[in-house]
Amino acid sequence: MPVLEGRASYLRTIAQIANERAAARPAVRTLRGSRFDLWEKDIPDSWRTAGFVQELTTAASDVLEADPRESLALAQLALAVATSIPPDTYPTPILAQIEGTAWKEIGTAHRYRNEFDAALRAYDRAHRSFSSAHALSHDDAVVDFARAILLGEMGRYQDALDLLAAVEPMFRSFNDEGRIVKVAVLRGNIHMLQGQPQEAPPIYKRALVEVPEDDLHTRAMLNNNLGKAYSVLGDSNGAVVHLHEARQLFIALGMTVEVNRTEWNLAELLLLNGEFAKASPILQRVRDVFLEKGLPEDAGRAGLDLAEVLIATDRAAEARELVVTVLREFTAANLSAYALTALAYLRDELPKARQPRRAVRHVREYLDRLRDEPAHLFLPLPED
Amino acid sequence: MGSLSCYPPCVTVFCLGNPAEAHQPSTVFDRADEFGAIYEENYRLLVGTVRDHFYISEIDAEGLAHEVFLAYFLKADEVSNSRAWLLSAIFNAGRAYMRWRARHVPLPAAFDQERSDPEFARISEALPDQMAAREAFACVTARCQIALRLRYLEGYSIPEVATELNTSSKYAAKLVSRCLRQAQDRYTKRGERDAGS
Repeated sequence: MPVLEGRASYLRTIAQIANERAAARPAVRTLRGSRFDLWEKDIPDSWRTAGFVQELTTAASDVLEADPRESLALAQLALAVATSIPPDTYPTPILAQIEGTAWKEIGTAHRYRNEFDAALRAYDRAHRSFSSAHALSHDDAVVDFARAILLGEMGRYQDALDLLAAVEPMFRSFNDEGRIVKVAVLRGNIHMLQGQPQEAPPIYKRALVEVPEDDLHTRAMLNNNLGKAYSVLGDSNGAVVHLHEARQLFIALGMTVEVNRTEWNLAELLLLNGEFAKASPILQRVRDVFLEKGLPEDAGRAGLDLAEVLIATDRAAEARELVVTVLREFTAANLSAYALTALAYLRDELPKARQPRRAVRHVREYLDRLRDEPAHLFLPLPED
Repeated sequence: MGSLSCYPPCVTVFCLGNPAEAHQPSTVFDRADEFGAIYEENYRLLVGTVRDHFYISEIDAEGLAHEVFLAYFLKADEVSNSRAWLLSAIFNAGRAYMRWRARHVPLPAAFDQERSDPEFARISEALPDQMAAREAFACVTARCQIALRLRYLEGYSIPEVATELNTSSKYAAKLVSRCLRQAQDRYTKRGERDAGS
């Protein structure tokens, strides 16, 4: 194909998609927050464009932080719309790219909702879409990176590290400096999760030096993680400095859930230092936000931190009431049966336990462990 | 323990997900000249690179280069070094193409045409089915489209469909069969309508 002919065809395609996105924007804006009464309606013909799907996936990722449920719904709608586009409407990589992106957003929304198997399935489909075209290797590497994050969260640390080792050269070949830093950060996170906190700060610090000043999100993330690492290593001053920095940056970015998680880390630091009066209102607020955002597992774990504060401040009855509430929330959300067993144990044990704080901490640590090992059996405290 | 910050992929894992990075149409229109110039500047380089490196035909090389430019357009705003990105993309596209071609070697003329590769034995039946399925699924409601796609194009089990749609397996099974009926009815009616007109 002569260069000019190719160029003209290329410009026609990108203009078409740009027009489609412009046309889609008002409709997608209306869909956001509408709670999807359109699920039972037919998809209008005018929506069946690559631009419309792109707008939906963009919207899905925009709302992910604030509302993973809505993000999932938008991404699923994107996939439904993409399904209804005849395969020969666009040049080869376009349909593969928009479908792969819809799957990736579905996977990520599931990951946010701690639905790990569903997330893995979606990432597999994203990979299949991207590899159906020859030119989408960067997209494919991005999905592998997302999968490495997920594997880390699932406690499959070696699998995650292996995947990172495979994607890093790909990002290097694309000169994708941002993601090269993120690969390093994830490695640091995995050391933390593996119980090697002393390995993490040097990795985070090195990455912090390499991150551009205007990459607020990565800076926020690194500061949060450094704060957490120092907290675990017992360096409270270092921890507070970095956690506050992270909180400010997440606020500037409007990332509510991440602000909440950072405040949770600060509250835990206060808890470790015995500053219960300061920790209590923060934990209550953190828990409320998680509940509002439809994240009952995190809300429950924050609730147990709060129960520990209540016990430490001689409000054992309130602590038990809170445990009962958390148990009810876990049951309603259909969360792990093992978690329910542990919470039921705590509910029954609290009134008679000689060391109730120890019992709360035992169950709290078990819930953390359960995230990494979903089949790990709950055992009561040995003395009890 | 609270939590480490990981990557909300909305922002960092994929360019289209970031509001700051997403392609705004006005930006694309404003940048049409830039996209055109990048195409012109790099087209010959990409075609020559992939053709000479992988010993593929000029036509195939041109097709791959064109695909790479489209992929580039879809994420141009997160690319800091266009040429490095394009070159890496064309190398990877060349590798992917070679892998694809290795799986699709034409049979020698003398080969007994009656003996088909078992892996592709049903492809002539399955491929039109897949295309017809997509066409039929396009006739139904949004919820039905996602349910049918998961079940029949992606091979999800009923419990997996249920998880995806946040419902019970029993309801998912009912939904799938109701949607299948809807697709069949509407697709048949559309066929009759098309035949009538």
